[in-house]
Amino acid sequence: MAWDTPLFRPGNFTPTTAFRITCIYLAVFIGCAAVLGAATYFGVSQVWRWQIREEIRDERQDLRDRFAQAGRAGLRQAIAELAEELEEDEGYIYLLQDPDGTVLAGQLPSFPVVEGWQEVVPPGGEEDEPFIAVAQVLSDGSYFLIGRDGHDLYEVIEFLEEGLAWTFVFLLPLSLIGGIAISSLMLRRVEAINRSLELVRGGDLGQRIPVGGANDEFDRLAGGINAMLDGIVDLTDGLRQVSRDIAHDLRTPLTRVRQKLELLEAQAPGSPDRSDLLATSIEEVDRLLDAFNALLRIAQIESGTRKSGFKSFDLSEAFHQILEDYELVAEENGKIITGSIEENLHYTGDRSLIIQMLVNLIENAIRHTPPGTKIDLALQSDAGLIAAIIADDGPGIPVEDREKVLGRFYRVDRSRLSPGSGLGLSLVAAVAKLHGIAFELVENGPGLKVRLRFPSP
Amino acid sequence: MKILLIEDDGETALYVKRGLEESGHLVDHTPDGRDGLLLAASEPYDILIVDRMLPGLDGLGMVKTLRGSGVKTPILFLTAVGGIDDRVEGLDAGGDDYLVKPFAFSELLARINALGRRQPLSAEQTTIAIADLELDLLRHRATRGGQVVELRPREFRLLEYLLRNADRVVTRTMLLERVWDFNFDPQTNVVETHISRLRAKVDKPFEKELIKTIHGVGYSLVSPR
Repeated sequence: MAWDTPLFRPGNFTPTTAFRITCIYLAVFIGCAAVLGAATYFGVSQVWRWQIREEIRDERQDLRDRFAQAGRAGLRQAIAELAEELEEDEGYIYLLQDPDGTVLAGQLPSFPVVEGWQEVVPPGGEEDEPFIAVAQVLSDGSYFLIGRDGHDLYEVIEFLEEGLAWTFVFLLPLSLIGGIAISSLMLRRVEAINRSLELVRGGDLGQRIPVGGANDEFDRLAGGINAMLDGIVDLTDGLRQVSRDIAHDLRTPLTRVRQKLELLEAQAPGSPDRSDLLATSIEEVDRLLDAFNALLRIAQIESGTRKSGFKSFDLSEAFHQILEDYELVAEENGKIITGSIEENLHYTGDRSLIIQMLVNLIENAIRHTPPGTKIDLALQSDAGLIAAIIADDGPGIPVEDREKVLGRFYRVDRSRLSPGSGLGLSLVAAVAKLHGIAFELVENGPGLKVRLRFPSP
Repeated sequence: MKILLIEDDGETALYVKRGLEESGHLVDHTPDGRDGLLLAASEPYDILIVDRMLPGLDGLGMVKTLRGSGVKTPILFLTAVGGIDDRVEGLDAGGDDYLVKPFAFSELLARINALGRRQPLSAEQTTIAIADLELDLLRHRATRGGQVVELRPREFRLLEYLLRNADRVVTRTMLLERVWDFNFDPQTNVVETHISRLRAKVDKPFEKELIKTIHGVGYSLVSPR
């Protein structure tokens, strides 16, 4: 047991959850004990009281019989005999007085006429231990009272009160300990999570919350937070990579623009080189802007906000259109595109992004292959699962480069002579990830085969 | 044309204003969305150029308010917010066109011209014609000099767009957006390829050339005088 859960936050006196749980536990525990104690108290004392009344009733019955047989005089005699027989502390008191209040028999002085059950303190008796008595006016108008000592009842009550008091004396610290123990047990896990998160906030992203083997709520919470932290690490790693890529890849063209502008400054107005330098500078800046736009677009796609705009559309029709558009372009570039497209395949996604993804893949196949290359575009479904293939018989991508080409700015052509930003396949990868499309580059022997497997709806 | 420019960035505003004035337009400029709204609602402008992010009242809200109060002046959004969804948002709010900063001035001018004299095609109008070139929109058939020209669907859409904007310059980006529905810049010469194919079908066999290349800007379908 770790007693590391404070009941109050250090510094101020705001009650902690541990404090609240302890209080609730205490209240419930003591409440239950109180209800139980009260029930016992009243139950037991009522039983005793009833017992005493029964005894009084029996005694009274005898005397009433006597009255019925022998009238007031008979009763008076009986009481006198009984009072004589009894020692004072033997527990019974009697009173018989005539209608004008004169005491005829018994141990009590003249008494105001009150009928029914009552408590009576006899002369010389203790104030806090009254007798239990019942009184009535008899048929001839005389007043008759009979009572019994309540000593046994008071003993029981005192015993009960003492017992209950002791119970509470032990119960209070016990339930307090119980409350603290339970809240501490529960909150220790929360505290562990808090401590880990504190470290994460302090910059230690590698920190993970320990997960016990119980698979309880806390383990699931810890698992959820850990998964979230993994996601954050992935994102920040991605971000860091992008910053490095941008710094590295955009600096080169920026430097070139700067050099050109410097040259331009040195040129005499009207020199023929001037307009040439200006034009190439603008071209260079445009390329930079294109790269920026592509980066922004990829970032936007990766953020996943586009998912809200997913709609069902005719994928076959989109493939047909792209095939039709690029047949001409390929021909112009000395390449041949053929297609085998299954009709009426519908898919739910972002049509414009899917089209851009396909265009990027086809343009890659057109741009990075020698003349005479055959490019094949295929769309088919198998058991409801849609798959697309964009294959060429060009030079392909070396196995060791296949993973890298999906990264930003990576280009197989290291000399960077062919135009392009090196962002095309990153965008394809981002769109595929957004849609949950499995995207792989495989050997086409010779050439490259891009296989897209669309997820089942 | 009388143009209202609502743009808070002083340098961009100056660049656009000067450029448009040199091209013979009258330009009023205000940097504030609320002032812009008042001006646009009270003065008869031919075109509004609205920046998306404005002080006072943002461009999107301003255009929604204008459209809500029945102002039908063509609106071109100008914005640094070039996201994929922002464009749709802008057009949904009631914008007619959308241009992302930074842009070439020729691109802006081409779009302004396309917007300014856009005549809504009446519902009954099923053919568009220029010179001896005629497009039957119902039957998707093109004829020139009475001779049927066989066109692929994309070529037909391209020709239709050029015809609708006859005597105006359309840029490559405009064509990509309107004819291909591509909101990105393809890395191959898909537009050029289709234009040259279209020329081979529509222009080459005939005496007069209709499709002109405007160097560094785009294309134009020019009616012969």
